Amino acid sequence: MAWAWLATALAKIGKFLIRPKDQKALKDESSRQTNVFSKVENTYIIQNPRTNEFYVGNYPVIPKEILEAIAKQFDPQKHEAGEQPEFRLVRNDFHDDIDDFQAHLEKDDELLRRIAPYIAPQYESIFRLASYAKSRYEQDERERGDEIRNQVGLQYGRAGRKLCNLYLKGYVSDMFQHYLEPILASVRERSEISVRLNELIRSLVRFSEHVYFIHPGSRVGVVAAAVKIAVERGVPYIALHSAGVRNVGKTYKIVEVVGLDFLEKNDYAIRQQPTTTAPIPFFDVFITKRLPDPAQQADNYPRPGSGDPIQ
Amino acid sequence: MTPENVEEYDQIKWEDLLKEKRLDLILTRDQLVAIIRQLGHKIDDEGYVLDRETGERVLSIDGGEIKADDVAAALPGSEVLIRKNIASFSQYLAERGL
Repeated sequence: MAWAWLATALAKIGKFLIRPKDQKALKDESSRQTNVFSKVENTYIIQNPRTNEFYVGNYPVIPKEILEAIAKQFDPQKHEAGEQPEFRLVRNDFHDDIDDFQAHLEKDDELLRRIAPYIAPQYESIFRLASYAKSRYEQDERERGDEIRNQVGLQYGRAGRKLCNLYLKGYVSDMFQHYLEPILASVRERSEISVRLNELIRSLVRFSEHVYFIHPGSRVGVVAAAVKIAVERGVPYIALHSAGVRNVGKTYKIVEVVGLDFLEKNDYAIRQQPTTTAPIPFFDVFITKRLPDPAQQADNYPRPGSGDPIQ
Repeated sequence: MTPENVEEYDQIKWEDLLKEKRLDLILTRDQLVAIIRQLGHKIDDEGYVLDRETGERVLSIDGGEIKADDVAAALPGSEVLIRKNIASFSQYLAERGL
């Protein structure tokens, strides 16, 4: 038993905790130290988020007064803030996830820092998660990035997932780059700033009705039909975004089914932006209504990186 | 690690830790379910956590009923139970202004 020493130590100290002196040495290849300790039966771990230190205790002898304190904390009628530490009870297979996420939140994100005090909690949460997913993609952890986006979908539904995707594609930062300063400069009331920024986010969601993020579940025929209907209705901005070989291939097929001649006939311009040199291929397609004046053609419509107005 | 490393630790008293602002208690699934019961919740025949006052199934922060075995964290405030979903945890933080 590799961890028999720990069981021995815990049996010796009873209800006290131990703090391993060399915490780093306890890490192994497959899991973090918290999981390593969880392998020892009947242990529990305390982590101090302030110092990042952890302590190990003997589960059967958690002091009764601690359990009572925890019970009191979870009872809003009995709890008085500040009288004891706040205990978060976390399962050992989830703790590393929240630790990692909180470490990400500590990095400064200027846009989120500026808008967070004003926007609705669910928007703040979705943008934070999108920023977290983006960081995973940038670290080539595509599976983890996809998993975070899926979890956004489970918590917030399709609209939440869409907003997360819009953030990842740069629509959110473009929008705020254009509108945030004028709003902050012209509105003094905090509540009014909140109203304006939340409305701005909602308008982005409405605007993005015909911004399609192609995923494994997307059906070529369904998306192509939706694009054609949008074109016939004169929707000014339509976009298709995809990542990964299969999704990119699907996007090419959608464009093929829609047909360049159909777009031309309806006075639409198409700009295709394949990125195949990256480890994961990306493909963005922008379909925009031509304006009467050729000088003001499709480039007047917003797209990632353009910083153009959204309405 | 071998048994001779048994002295490689410091002994900590709870009293020293209780001065901290926040602590994470990291538990196995069974331990967490046991503590949920100790907090006064009952669990119905299908494994769902019941509200202490009303006896109705508790809703997780994602809006769905939650089984005791699916609880990945119990968080202070108004006793928030969440599944293993980082988006639920993120919503909790945002709601509390953290």
